[in-house]
Amino acid sequence: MKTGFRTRELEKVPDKLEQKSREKFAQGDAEVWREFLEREIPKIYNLFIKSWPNPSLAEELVQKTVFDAVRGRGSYDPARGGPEEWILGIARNNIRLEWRTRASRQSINVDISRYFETIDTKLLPDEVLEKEETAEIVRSALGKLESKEETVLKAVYIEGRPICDIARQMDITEKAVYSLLYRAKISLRQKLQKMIFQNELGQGS
Amino acid sequence: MKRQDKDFSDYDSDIQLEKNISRLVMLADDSELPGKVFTERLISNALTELRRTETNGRQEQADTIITISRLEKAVAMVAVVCGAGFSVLFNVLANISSLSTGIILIAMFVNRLIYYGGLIL
Repeated sequence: MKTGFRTRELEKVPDKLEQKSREKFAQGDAEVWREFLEREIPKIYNLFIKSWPNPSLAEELVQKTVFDAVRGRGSYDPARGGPEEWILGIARNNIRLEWRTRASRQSINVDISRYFETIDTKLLPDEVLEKEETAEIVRSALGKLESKEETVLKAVYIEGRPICDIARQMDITEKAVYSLLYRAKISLRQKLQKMIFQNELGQGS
Repeated sequence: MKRQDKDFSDYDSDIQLEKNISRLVMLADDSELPGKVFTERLISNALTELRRTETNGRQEQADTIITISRLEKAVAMVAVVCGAGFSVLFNVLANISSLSTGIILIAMFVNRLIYYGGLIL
């Protein structure tokens, strides 16, 4: 359903900025920028998600790229090409920076179980999130939650919907949504730790 | 719940868990496109930033103009003061010049007196 909406949204926007719009883009015209970002954000996101299967990192890098473009729009020269190529250049530069940061970091242990032991005290490394094994365990753990818990977690973290909206849809109070969300997080943590422990035992035997 | 740091508060623990759960749940989304809410929020923030940087740019330009006009005023004041200084100096020099002519005439006169005095003697 979500993908269908996005596709429709993308179809509305013309494929390339017209030549005369490039001047307006360079001048910082809000309408031209809105149109441009609506079209380019999905492309940039796609570029990052193909580099690392990590949606939270992809969102972070898209945000960085967009703000780099807004703040550095003075460097855009319409004579040198379209803004599409220009922003993709910024995105590629951010990919290079991310690779450089990773190269300077300590290598990640193959055993992911020890990272899940400290899930509430330490931030999970991106490399752990990017393992196919982690994604599979998360999907499986979400499937084992109560239906309401799974719904609220997906609505908040995947769809990014506001609490009032979720409360209206689930026909409960906002306070009840917060309470349900808290229980869902604790429940998911327990399920994840249990599954990873079992997974580890299975691999050991 | 395992704790590595004894001083790690419940509040910090909740924040860390929130961050990790949010990043993990996002892994369950197979879509290769960003969420609608994320995209809308990002566009809105980017446009706000665009307007903010534009306003700052204009302000910087105005500051530069003000600085230039202040600089012009300072240069004009220095020019006026220097002009006044030079006119006073030239006047003094002119006076000194006329004074020196007088001194020379007096010196010539005294010289003549000494010469004639010498002849008489």
